[in-house]
Amino acid sequence: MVTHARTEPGGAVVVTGIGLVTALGFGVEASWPRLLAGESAIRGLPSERFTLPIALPVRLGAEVPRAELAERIRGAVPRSVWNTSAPECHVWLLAALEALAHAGLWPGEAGDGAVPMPDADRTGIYVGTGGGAHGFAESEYIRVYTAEKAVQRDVSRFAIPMYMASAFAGQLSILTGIRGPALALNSACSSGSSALLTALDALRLGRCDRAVAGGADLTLTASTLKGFANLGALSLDTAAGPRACRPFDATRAGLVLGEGAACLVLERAEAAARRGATPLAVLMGGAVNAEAHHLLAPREAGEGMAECMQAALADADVVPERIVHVFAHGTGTRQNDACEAAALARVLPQGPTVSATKAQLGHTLGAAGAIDAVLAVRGLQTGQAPPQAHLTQPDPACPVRALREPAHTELGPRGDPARAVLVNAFAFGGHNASLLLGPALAGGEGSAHA
Amino acid sequence: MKEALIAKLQAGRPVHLSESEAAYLTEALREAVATTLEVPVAEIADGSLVFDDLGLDSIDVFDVLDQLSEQFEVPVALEELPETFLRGNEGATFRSFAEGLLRYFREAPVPPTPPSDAG
Repeated sequence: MVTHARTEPGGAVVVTGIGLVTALGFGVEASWPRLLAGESAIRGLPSERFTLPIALPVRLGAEVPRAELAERIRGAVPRSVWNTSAPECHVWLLAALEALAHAGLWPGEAGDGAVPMPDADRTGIYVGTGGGAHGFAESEYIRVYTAEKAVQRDVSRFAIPMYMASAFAGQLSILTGIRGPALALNSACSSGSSALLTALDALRLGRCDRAVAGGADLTLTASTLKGFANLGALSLDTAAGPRACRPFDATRAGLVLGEGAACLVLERAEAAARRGATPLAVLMGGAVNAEAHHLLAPREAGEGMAECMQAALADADVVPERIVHVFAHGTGTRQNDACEAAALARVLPQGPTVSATKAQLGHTLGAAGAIDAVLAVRGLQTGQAPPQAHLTQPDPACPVRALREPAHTELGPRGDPARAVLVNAFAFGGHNASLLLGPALAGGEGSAHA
Repeated sequence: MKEALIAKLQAGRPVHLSESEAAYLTEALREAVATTLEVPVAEIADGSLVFDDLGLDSIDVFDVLDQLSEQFEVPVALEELPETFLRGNEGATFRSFAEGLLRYFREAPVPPTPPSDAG
């Protein structure tokens, strides 16, 4: 278990900007209302979408459309950036630039790297990704083997800098002028949450005053789909279409892969106040741990997950009763959901409302925790959270209080310090991560501690 | 013109380039540099310093060469290009850049060095 470094008194870490790309849309406001309405981005994908010549048992997914992604990145960054980076990096850059613009740190249009970033040497980048540029690598290999023209049957000059996951951080640094720590982290499906917690540590330790942190993954490649299918983790319920992922439901049949990226601008409260930034929420604390148990499965009664949530509560100095909503990991697999429900029952016996957005967005792997963190910020701002979609037959083995209607949430409005939201992300390898976010105080300092 | 030039280039180096073919390649290079730098072609003057005035860097050189490879369907071996193409040759003009590219195509390729047995 990792105990996170604490800030000195009054040194809260606030969120001042958020950015999001999901299969429901580019930008926070493109996804948020559709999530509240219970809309699912999961759909059947055409066979032409997958170029690797292997038979796929299912082609369901929540896809970020590639043509729109390409168009948007070309409108947002110079050629020298988009031409030397993979689509997986593009989706991250779009989320990061939205978050920076939201925080008042980016003009919201193409720059040349000379855009002045205040305190650039005191700003860090922390991005989590499960697969890095896996899809780009797969398409490169296919191209090298199958290109009709001889000149195309060679590895791209840019292959290496495009493959490497660290390029997500490096390209954002080059683009924005950020010169503090710039790291890419991997803890599989909790990568985004791990990145946020690593950023939190850096801010608490004073290694930087501001951090651009989140996660990104484009998952819908043939080898990833087939790999998850061969593990028995994938929902093969093609007939259910958009309802193929059903977290906590008795009929749940597995996960559906999704794609996306999310980014939060985190700042030490005094640094945000110094430049007049408005806190949106507080990242109160969190924890990561490892299960030391099994490569693919959590401990049976969710002990490792529970320990992680308890450590997060302790780190944030929050009592369980203050948790009013949980963004559950909720993959829709038999084992994960039962284990997480057991862990929640143990740690939060008062039964806060729960929703798992993977029902609508698919499992975005390394982006998932960061996506839910962005949604938690919106929830704390608006008093709403997405309902638990596709839950019609609650599984008695998953005794969670699933959120049925977004208007019924108990999330506190801005200025109410008595609420906190838990965001869970768990991963193959036993990498657990839990985050706690609270509302920003009306006065702006941001500490949500009671 | 272009199809015939592609056929000549694909036949292998050294390539005998006519004046019109050399001019065609030069303009293709100018367009590639402009595309890379996202500036109008007219801004790429013969006397422009490609690194100092235009701001080309080593990554941009890769992009320029990739565009030419794609357009003419031949690989362009960076290691056989004149030093003009390398960042650090601060006095390089677009004219010298183009001359270097033409010289590359007009010269025979350097024979590959046999692998050394030395441990």
